[in-house]
Amino acid sequence: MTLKQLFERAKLLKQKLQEEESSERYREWLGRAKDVWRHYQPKEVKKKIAAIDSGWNYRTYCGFYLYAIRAIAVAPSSETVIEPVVEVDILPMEAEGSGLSPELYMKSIAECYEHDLASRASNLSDVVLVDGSILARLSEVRTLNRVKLFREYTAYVRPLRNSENILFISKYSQDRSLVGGALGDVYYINKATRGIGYTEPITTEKEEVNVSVFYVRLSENSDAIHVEVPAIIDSEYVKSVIDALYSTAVKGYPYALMIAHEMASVPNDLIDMLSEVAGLSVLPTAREVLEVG
Amino acid sequence: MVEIGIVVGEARPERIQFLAKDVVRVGEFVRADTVDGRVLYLVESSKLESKLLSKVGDYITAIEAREASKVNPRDTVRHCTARAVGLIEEILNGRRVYPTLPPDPGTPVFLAEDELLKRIFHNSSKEWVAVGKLLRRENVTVSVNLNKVASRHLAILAATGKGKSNLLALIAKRIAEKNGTMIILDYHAEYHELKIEKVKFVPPRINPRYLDSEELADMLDIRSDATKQRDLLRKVYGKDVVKSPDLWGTLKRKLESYANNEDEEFQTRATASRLLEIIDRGLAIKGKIFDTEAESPLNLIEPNKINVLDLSELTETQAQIIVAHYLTEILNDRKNAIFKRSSRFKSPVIIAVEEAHTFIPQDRSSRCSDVLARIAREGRKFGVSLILVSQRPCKLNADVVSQMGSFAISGLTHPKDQSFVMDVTDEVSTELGATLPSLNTGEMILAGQWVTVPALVKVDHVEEKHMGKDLDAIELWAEEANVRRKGISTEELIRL
Repeated sequence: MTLKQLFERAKLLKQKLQEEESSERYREWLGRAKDVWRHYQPKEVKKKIAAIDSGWNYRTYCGFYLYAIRAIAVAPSSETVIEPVVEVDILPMEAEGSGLSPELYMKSIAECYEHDLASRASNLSDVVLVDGSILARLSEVRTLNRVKLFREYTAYVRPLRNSENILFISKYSQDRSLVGGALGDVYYINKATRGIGYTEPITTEKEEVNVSVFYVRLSENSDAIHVEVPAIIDSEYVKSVIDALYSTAVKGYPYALMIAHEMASVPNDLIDMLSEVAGLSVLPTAREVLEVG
Repeated sequence: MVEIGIVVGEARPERIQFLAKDVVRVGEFVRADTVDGRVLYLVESSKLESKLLSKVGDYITAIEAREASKVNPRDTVRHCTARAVGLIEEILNGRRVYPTLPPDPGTPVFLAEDELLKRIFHNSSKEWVAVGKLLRRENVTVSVNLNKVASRHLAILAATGKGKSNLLALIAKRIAEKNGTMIILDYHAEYHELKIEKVKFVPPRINPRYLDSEELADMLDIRSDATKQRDLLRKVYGKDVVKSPDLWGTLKRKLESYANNEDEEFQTRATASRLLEIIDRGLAIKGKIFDTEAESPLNLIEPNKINVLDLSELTETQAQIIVAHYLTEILNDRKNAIFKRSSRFKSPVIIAVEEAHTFIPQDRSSRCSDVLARIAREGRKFGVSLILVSQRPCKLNADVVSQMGSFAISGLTHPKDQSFVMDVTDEVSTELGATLPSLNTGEMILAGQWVTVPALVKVDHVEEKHMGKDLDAIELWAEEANVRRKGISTEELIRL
């Protein structure tokens, strides 16, 4: 019964999207995306690149959860730039009495590690790429007020300030501040343009950190990526970023970040193995208690 | 000691997977330690994969991924599977003992040393003869055990042009060196220029007195659907004809009595006349095959020699009839030898059947399939063995092939042939079978009892064997045209 309704809703949605695409305001948003886009012919410049990413996973047991985090800084050759950070521990679900979900808790810890690695890697590399958005992170930081984590988190953000060579990269950005359309900016940019290029950086301030935001496309016919730099930069800087990254980009995404993502992830089989090694595999997990028989 | 990889994934006693740091080719030998001892493995598959490039779905991304992959050595993964061929200590003592436990995951995999492989594959005992080199180690000679060929049969299964007849010629040469007796049933006249020592070319001969009327009809090329002719031949080909000193004269006179008898029906007279024509034509064309005085075909075959029986001018059925008679005689003679009765062959006889699918087809029985099946089953007891040679193994009688103790295989591309080979020998796995089409001429998988352990081998080329190569049509045309031109008179040449 509900299936039929769901499909009917999906059909309606399709209709709505089609109507939206033929509307005047949609054309306006596309026009604005086209206006802000600057075409650029890149020149290959060899730079020392480091990519930062983290992964985490957890298993819930009665009264606590086991979690594992790893954060890494790697070069495109897969060599580690800085010693990775790993953590395996158990916590009660009400971490420090905060009511913070395991996901948010681990994400925050992992981001602290990422910021620390990025800060240290910036002294060793020309360009440091971090998977994610610093602005999004700083927007959520107040929720950490509930736990002692807030101070720790901001302590790790502080060294990033004015670091021109640290770039936060988002593939699926939801930012709407540039085009101001119904959907994220990157949606309209990808519809309106297909060549290598960029948008002029716009600087904003969050939690006492100046963040410059721009979009770049590193290879033709690929999706644009959203970039944030915790410093005030200009369009010449943006061009230099394209020069440094375009030759090793795969489908418009920096290859080093792909490797970092792969090397940092904590898949289910790994967390299961850690659970075994920690002697917890005999305990029923939260999911198992739902299984009958 | 060169460490080339590490055991990963699920390891089993009979098969391991390992990640290699460098190129490891199929057919290479590696070793790894198990609780049972050091084990020799044959590399059966070698896969090279870029994790990045395996995920791309379009050309432009592939170009980008290629550049990115170049800078990341971890992106390229060399994944190999290898099959255990036995505990090294036992192999060196001439035994094939398999490990009962796999190596632990993470165990280092080493390239087997040349010296070790030389000790395993080369044997200078009198029953062993050299046939080639290991495909991946050109300095390691591979020997095969001829005693096993003479007792447990051999099948040479390979696509056209992959070196079947070269291997057979090489085996013949080695048998000749050992004073052995061999008969090559040469269906396509491939061996009539074989220039090895002790070779004897034997024309096919058969005494029609030993044939029944149906066999005689086949030998005379009477069509199988010519029932009236066959019926009349059966009627006239009685004991009086068979025992007559002038067999053909007596037979023809009996047919003439039908043809000229006004009292007989017209149809019978016409049939008799036609039979007389067929016999005259048959004797004119194939008369030399029939020898009414020959006591036994065995007298033509010489012990301790390589006897090449040329069947190329016979039809399939005629060749089958001749082969059936020869092989029956040989088997009986060897039984006599074993039971200490008078015999021609005092020592084992090896029979090589070229184009074996013609003589032991899978889907039907031939005139000689019974005797071939009998030799395959019982030949070992009496010292008669088979070497079956075919490019279409799936068309061979599976029961007969399953009696083969040893195999030489190469270049089979048809999936049915590949799966047939895997069915009849457990030493050719799916992985190894997949490499068969990529083997070059002379490169073969030798497996079974005639080798110490299965191996990919580059078989020695036999210079004394000239046939079997494709004709050089361009050269032959040019030669012929040249000869003709020389025969043209000056006047004709001016006119040209």
